[in-house]
Amino acid sequence: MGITEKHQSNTKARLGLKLILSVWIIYHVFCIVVLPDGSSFLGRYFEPVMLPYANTLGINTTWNFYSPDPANTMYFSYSVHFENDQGEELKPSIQEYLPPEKDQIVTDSSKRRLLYAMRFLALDPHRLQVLMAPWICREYEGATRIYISHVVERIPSLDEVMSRENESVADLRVKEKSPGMQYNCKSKPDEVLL
Amino acid sequence: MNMSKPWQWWDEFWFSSRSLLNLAIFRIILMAAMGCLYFGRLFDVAKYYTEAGLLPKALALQMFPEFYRPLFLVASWPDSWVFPLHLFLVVGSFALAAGIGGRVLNTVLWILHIGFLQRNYSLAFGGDLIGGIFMMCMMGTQSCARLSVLNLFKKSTVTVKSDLLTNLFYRLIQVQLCVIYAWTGFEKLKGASWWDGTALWTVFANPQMVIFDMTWMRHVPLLVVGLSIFTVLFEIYFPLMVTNQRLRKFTLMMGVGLHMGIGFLVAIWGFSFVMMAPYILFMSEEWTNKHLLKFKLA
Repeated sequence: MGITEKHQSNTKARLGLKLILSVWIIYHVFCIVVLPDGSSFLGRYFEPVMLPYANTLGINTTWNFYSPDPANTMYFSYSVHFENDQGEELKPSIQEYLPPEKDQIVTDSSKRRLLYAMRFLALDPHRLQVLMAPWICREYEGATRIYISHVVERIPSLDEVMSRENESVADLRVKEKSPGMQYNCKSKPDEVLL
Repeated sequence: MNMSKPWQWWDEFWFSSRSLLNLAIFRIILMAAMGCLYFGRLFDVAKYYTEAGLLPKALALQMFPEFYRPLFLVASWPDSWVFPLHLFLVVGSFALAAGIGGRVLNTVLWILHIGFLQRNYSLAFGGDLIGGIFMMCMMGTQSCARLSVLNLFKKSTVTVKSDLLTNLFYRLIQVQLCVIYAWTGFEKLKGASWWDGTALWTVFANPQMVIFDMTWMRHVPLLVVGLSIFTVLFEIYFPLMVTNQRLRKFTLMMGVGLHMGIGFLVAIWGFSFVMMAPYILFMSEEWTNKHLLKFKLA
C-alpha cells in the first residue's frame, strides 16, 4: 500500500470513528440535558433508553442546589429506651439529637455529610423507619425501643426580622415537631417499605 | 443542502485540537479537590459504608429513588476492604493530581468513586456528584500529558498534541458545566423565595448551612436581595455568557467570586473547587502561559 493510499485509508477510518463518536455525543448530551428534569415529557418518553445508561454512570441527577427554596433548620430528636420483656425499665432512657449539634453551626466536613444524610432521610418517613431507626438501635447496645421525632425550625422571613429588630433571629425561629414514630429494636427491618 | 458546512462546524466544535496545558490544570484542581473531599470522610468510613454503619449493603440500591437507581451495585467488596479501598481513593486522587497514572488510574478511581457513591447515596455532597461526572469525562483525556511530576524525570520533552478522544471529552466537560449551571438556575425559578429575592436570607440565617453567624445580614437587606438575584441570573445565563468571547473572562471572574463566597460562608470548598476546575478549559493556552504559568514541569 502506497503512502497516499495509506493516508486515505487513515482519513476514512478517522471519519468513521468521528461519525460513531458523534452518535454517542448526541445521545449523551441529550441525556444530560433532559434528565435533570426527568419528570418532563421527554424524560418520561425516553426513560427506557436513558436510565440504564445514565444511572450506571451516575449522570442522572437533579441540579437543585438550594432550590426550589433553601431548606429550614432541621434535625431529629430521639429517645432510646432499655426495657425487659415486661416493659420495665432496665436503665434510664437516653434523650439525644441527630445531628448531635442540633441547630448549631457545624464546620467539620464529615459531620456535615451526616447532616446532609439526615436531610435526605427526612424526606421520606419510610427511610426513617427502615434505615435510621435500626441504625440508632445498633448504636445503643441493649436498646429495646426508640422514639424519633423530626424537628423543623422555621427561619423567620427577612421582612419579619427587619420589623422585629430587637429580637434575635434564633428567638424568632418557629419550632415544629412531628408527632413522632416508635420503633421496636427487636423487630426486623421491613425492606419493602423503602 | 450542502452538508459540509454543518459537518465542518460539528467537527471543529467536538474534534479540533485542545490545550493539554489547560487540561492539566483542570486535572490538578479537580483531583486535589476530590482528594480533600475523600480525605474528609476517611476516618468515618466504617460508619458510612459498612454493615455496622448507617446503611446495610442490601439496602444500598433501595436507598435510591427508583428513577435514579443503578442497574447494579459496584461496591461489591467486603467490609474489610472498605478502609483500604477508600485510602487508595484518597492517595490515588492526589497522585492523579500530581500527574501520575493517566487514564488507567483515572478509570480505577472513578469506579471506586461510583462504588462509594452508590454504597450510601444519602451522604453525597453536590461536589461528589459533579466531581464524579468530571472524573468520568477526564478518563477519556490525556490529562497527565502536561504538568506531571513524572515529566521532571524525563530527559527530553516531546510536544504531544491532543488526540481525538481528548478533544471530545474536553468539550464535553465544558458542555456539562454549562448544563449544570443552567439547570441549577432553572430549578431556582420554581422557588417563591428566589423570585422574592430573599432566598439567600434563609441560607445565611440557617446555622446548619453557614459556618459563621451571618444573621447580621438582616441589617443589609438589599445586599441579600442583590446576591440572590445575581446567583439566579449568573447560573441561568452562564452558558450564553461564557460562549461569548467578550464576556468570557468577566463571566468566569464572577463565577470565581460566587464560588469563593460559597466556599467561605458555607465551607463547602470541595464543591467550590470542583465547579471552578473546568473554568480554565474556557481559556486559551496562550492566556494560561502568559498569566498563570511559568512552570518547568510543562
